[in-house]
Amino acid sequence: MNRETAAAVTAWNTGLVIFFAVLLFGLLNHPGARDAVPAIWDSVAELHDDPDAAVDEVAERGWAVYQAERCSSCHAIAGVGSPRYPLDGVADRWSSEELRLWVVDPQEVSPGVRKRAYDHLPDEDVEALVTFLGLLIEP
Amino acid sequence: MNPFVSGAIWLSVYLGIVLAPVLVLLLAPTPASGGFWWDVSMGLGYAGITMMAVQFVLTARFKRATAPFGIDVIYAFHRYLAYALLVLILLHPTILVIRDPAQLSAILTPWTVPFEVSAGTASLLLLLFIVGVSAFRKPLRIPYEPWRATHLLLSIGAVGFAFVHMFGIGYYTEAAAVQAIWVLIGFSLVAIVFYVRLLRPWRLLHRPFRVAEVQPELAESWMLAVEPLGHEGFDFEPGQFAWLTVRKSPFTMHEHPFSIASSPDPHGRIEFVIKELGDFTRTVGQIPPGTVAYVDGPYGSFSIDRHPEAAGYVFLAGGIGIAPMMSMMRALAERGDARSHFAFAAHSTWDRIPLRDQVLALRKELDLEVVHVLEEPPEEEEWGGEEGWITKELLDRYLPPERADYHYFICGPVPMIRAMEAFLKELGIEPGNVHTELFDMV
Repeated sequence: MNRETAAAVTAWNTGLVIFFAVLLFGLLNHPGARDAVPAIWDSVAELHDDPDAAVDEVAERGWAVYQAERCSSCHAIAGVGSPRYPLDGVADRWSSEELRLWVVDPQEVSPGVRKRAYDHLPDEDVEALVTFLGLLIEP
Repeated sequence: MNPFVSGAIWLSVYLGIVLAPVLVLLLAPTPASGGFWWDVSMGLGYAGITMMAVQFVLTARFKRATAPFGIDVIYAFHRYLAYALLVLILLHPTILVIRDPAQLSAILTPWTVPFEVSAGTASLLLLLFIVGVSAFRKPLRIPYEPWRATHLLLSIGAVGFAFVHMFGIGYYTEAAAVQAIWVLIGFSLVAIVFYVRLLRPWRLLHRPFRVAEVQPELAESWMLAVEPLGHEGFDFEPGQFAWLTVRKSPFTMHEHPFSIASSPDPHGRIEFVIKELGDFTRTVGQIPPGTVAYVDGPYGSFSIDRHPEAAGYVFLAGGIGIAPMMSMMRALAERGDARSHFAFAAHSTWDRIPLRDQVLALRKELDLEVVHVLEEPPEEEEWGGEEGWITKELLDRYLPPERADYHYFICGPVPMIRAMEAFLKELGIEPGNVHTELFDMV
C-alpha cells in the first residue's frame, strides 16, 4: 500500500470509527428518558390548580400539533426541547390573539423576527395550538 | 519510535479529542433527549466541529509530532479527513430533515429562521466550497498562493459559524463541563492559528538566510543555494525538504516546499534544485544573490537515514525528482559509503536531465551505477544507454540478486511513482523497503 492510499484508508476508517462512536452515543444518552417530549404534557397540566378543568380536548389536540410540528426543535417547555426559545410563561406575556399571530404570522407581532410562519396549518390546528400555548403560564 | 506505534498513539489522541465533547455529554447533566436519531445528529455535529478544529493542527507543521510519518503523509491525511468530516457533517442536517421534512425549509430559506440556525447553513456551505475548491484547485487553475490564503480564512469562517450555530442553539451546551470543553477547543484553535500565522513566521524572521548562488541547471531548472545569516542553520537528513520564502516576509505565507539537493553541511548551506513549473518557480532565475530568504525545515521522512540497515540504495527518479536523490547520494559519497548503489533516472532527452553531470561525477567517489533512461535518445550519435521508460524488465536486468535487501527511493510524477511501486512489487521487493514522497502535496 503506498503512502497516499495509507493516508486515505486511515482517514476514512477514522471517520467510520467516529460515526460508530456517535451511534453508540445515541444509544447510551438518556436511555431511560428516550423521547422525553411526552413528559411535557404532564408538567403542563401540573401548572394549573385544577388540571382537569384546564386541560380539555382542544388543548390536547394542540399538544398533538406541537409534537407533530416538532416545535421542540427550537422551543423548550419545562426544560424539554431546545433551551434557546423557552415557552414557559408565554400565556402570561401574550394574549390568545398575539399567540395566534406568533404562530401564523410572526412578522406581524415582531417585524424582522427570524421565525418560521406556520400559516400552512389548518385553522383548527392553529386554534388548538394556541389553546395549548395558553396553558403555559409561569410555573 | 516505530511509525506504526506512534501512528496508533496519535490516532487514539485524535479520536479522544474528536469524541471528547460527545463523551462529556454522556457524563454531564443534559436536558432530556430528543430521541436516538436526534442524539446521533447532534453527536455528528459536535464531532464534525472538533474534526474541523483539528484540521488546523494537522497542517500546523509540528516537527516532532510529524517526524515519524513524514509531513507529506500528514497533509494527505488532512485532505482525506476533510472528505470524511464533510460526509459526517452533511449527515447532521440530513438526519434532522429525514426525521422532520419540514426542517428542509429552514435550511433552504436561511433568512426566515433565527441567525444561529442559518449560521449552521453558512458553515456547511463554506465547508462545501472549501473542500470543492481544494479538491479541484488544479483543474480550476486556481493559483497556489491566493488559494492558500483564502483556504485558511474561509476555514476559520466555517469553524466560526459552526461555533455560533452550536452555542446559539444551545442544545446540550448548558452543562459547565460541556462549555469548558468547547472553550478549550476554541482557545486551542485560536492558539494554533496564532502559532501558524504569527509565531512561526516570527521565528523564521529571526533566523534569516541569504541567497548565496543561483545557477542555471539543465531542463529549465535552477540551483538556488542559501546560507544562514547570523545563525548556524538547521540540521537535516539527506532527502528531506523545506518551505522556502524568497523576497517576501514570512508573514505573507508566500512559501513553497522544495526538496533539498545538497547534503547536510556544517555551515548550514542548503541547495535547492527548482524546476520552472509555476508562478514562483519561473522567477527563480532572476533572484539576485544576497536576497534574504526564509527556510522552514526540515520536513519529510524520505531519507536513507531512516533505513541504515539497507544492503544498498536504489534511487528511481523522474525529472526533477532527482533533487532529493542527489542529497542522499552526496551524503553517501561524503560518508565514504562502501555499499553499492543504483540510480535510475527517467528523462525525455539527454539535454533535459537536471544534475546530469553532478550525478555522473559521483561515480568516482561512490559505487554507483547510473542508468539514464531516455524517451528520445540522441539521434546524431550512437546512444548506448536505455530507451523509453523504466520498465520491470529493465530493473530486473540491472538489480543485483540480493535486491530484496536494498531500499528503494522513488520520486517523480505520480504515474511514474505508481508504475515503479508496481514493478518493484512484482520483482518481490517488500513494500517496507520502498519509499516515496507525496511531492504533490496540495
